[in-house]
Amino acid sequence: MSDPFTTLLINQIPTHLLPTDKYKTNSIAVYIRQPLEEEHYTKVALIPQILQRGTMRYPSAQKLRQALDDLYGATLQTDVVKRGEEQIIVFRLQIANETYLSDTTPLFAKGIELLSEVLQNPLLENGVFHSRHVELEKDLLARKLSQIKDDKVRYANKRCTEEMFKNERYRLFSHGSIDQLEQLTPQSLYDYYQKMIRSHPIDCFIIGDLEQNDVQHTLSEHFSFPREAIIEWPRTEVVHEVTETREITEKMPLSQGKLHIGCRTQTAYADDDYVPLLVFNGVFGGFSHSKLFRNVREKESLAYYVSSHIESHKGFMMIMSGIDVHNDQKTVKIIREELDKTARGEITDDELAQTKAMLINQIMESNDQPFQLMERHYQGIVGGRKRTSSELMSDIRRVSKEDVQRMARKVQMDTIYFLTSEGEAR
Amino acid sequence: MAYETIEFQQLQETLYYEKLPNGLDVYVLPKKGFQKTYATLTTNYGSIDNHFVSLEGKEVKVPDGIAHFLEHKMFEEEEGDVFHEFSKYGAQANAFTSFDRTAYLFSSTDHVLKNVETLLDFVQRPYFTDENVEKEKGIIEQEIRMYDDNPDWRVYFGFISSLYHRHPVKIDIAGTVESIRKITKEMIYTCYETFYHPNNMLLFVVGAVDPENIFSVVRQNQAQKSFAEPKEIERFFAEEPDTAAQPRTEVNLSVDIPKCMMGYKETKIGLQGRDMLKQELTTDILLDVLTGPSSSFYEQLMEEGLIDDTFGSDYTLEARYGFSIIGGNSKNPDLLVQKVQQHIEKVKQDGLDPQEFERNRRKKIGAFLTALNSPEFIANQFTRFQFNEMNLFDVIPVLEEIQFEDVSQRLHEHVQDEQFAVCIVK
Repeated sequence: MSDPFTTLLINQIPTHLLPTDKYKTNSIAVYIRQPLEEEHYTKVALIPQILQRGTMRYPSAQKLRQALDDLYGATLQTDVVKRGEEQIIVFRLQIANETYLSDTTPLFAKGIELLSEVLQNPLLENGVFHSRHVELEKDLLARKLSQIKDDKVRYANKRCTEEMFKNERYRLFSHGSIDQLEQLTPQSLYDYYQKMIRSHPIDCFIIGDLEQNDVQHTLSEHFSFPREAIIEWPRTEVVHEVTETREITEKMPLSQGKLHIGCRTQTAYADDDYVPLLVFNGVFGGFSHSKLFRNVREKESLAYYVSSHIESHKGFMMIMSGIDVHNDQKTVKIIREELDKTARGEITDDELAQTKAMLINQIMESNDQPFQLMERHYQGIVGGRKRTSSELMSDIRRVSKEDVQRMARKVQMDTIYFLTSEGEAR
Repeated sequence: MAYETIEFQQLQETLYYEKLPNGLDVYVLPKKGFQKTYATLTTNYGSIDNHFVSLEGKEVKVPDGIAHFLEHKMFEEEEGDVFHEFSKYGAQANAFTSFDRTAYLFSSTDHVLKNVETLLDFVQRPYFTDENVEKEKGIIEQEIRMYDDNPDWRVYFGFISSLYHRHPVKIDIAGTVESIRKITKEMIYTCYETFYHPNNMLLFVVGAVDPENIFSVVRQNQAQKSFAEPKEIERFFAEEPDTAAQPRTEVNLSVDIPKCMMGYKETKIGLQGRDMLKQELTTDILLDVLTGPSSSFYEQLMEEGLIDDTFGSDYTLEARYGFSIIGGNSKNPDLLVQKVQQHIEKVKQDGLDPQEFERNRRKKIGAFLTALNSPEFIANQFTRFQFNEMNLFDVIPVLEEIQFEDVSQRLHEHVQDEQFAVCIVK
């Protein structure tokens, strides 16, 4: 299968279009890329929230949500994610296709108009973001950040990442930090927003039962960002040799310990080794047939969940498991043994074949989910290498046991983080 | 060709149905353009079915958490773990236990017929031994402890157990560390034999499939197996008063920001079919009009810093129980509870806003269309609906027929002080 998207340049925004009648809705996403920087990352986290708080035409969040509801419950969601050492803002709009409604007034153009209102016409006061909206969103973000502690897995993940990358930009949390919130002003936030929409890369994705001409027409009418030359920034640093494995233990009242092991893979999306790394992860910990699940859970009954995950752009793999507070040493030992076995080439034909079948299935399945399909395509844009699903699948099929073994040798445990209880588990 | 064809013109969907001689209900919904197939095999048996007459005619009471325990053990076969059989054919398998149902499922983009057979075979071939039951206890204990640390889960169950005096919906689906220790192989077989008869089960296949191929594989597969004569299953539920058992419960988890859930116990239960569907949808709309994100009340609470975007509402309706839930994270849960109660009381006096009703009805129609993009939603919801003699594809017609007066009437019927309870996790 060739590239499913057709890319058009509309008012200088690359717009990736996929016409299809598979869905009962039309899906639109706008991605904006930022370098991950100490100076700006909390602003980046806050800006999409402020934009959703109100526009000149819909001056409150309530008015904006009512406008969405009136479009047959259109949904607008924003997300801020880290991809390597970049911080990406995503706006996702999903809107019913009127073909399936009793009322057949066209909805797509109205949805685009509303999205453009949010992106290009925020509610301003004295030429900058509205101060009350900024205050409200600062308070909400502060609460969101402080209650990460209440979700133990998320907290452990964040802490392990901060420790492991303490001297790299990747340590910065995608949703910003409480310490920085105070100093942010409507002016500094608005200035950064202006910079973003003028000179940061923006991509637009559209999937639905739509004609190219109509899309072109609707977007050129509504999307007109004051674009300038796109800024240059440092690429994500991937290679980082591990000299020794650090162990960190943190305590708080809890009933299950959370073991997170951060590993370096020295491999990012654009590398030829990326696909072998995906297969390695599948053999080692990505699935319920993987070594980790079979040994830590099925054989030793140590955990309910245990898995490993690849971050595609930073050369990073995270292993996670929830275990009894007394079983950390034992579990780490088994995980290490399984990594060593893989590095020695103890990989069965079944493990390899099952992993490939599962990875290929995941890629095929994502083709049925509009936002996942966009996400995969965008991964190629951020990663600096285009891989169509058919290329990806044929590369997966070619991976050998030796390749998997080679990847296992490349993977090094960097930081072992254990969140455990003070005294006995509660 | 023994199957029926059911067309839903406005939605442009066609559903195929056949009841097999052994009682198994089989539904197939082909999705045009999809690559993925999703299949669920569900038994009408969940955590609340803990007191019943067994297949041998004995009245039995079983330990808490046994339906979920049985679900875990289903995956073990004499030859090993059934996950591997699925992985070989690129299928992702899983299962879940709810209050009322236990579902086994897979998704795959290839070898669908083979995977359907694997699904039927593993669920219809129990293999429980003293040893494998014992081994599972460690894994499930970790699953229970994981939920113990999860404040969202704790507030949800805390709320339900505040509402109910005796109904088993108040029991945690996984049971407790103590209750699962009492579970034996024999008890699991008793539950299996009573509730896993094909006559008590439903197979739903949705996605890239040809109905004839699915039916012929399922017919052949089932014809090779023999089952006892189906029997009406007798289940016992203790008499439950209309009132809330305990108006207020507090749980101490030392969370950063308290979590609060409140709501009303449904007293109009025992419904099935279109009446049940109408009550469910009417109450959903009611809750959205009262406290939904587009309401003035929500905006006011947000302005006052009493809620964040976790605040929401939900309505659960089953044959023998039902409840509404309103809540989320709040710095001041007591004040929030007071405000919500005052607000609802005021609306009861002043009446609902017809415009808000219309807006929220529209929103629900759009949300349903969006949900139809998801094969997972279709299969799981269709099954739940069917077990209650409702039809999923009636959702839009019923939404269109609901009148403003229905919602007003629901407000006075459902919202009663004696049925109110709240749980706060601090």
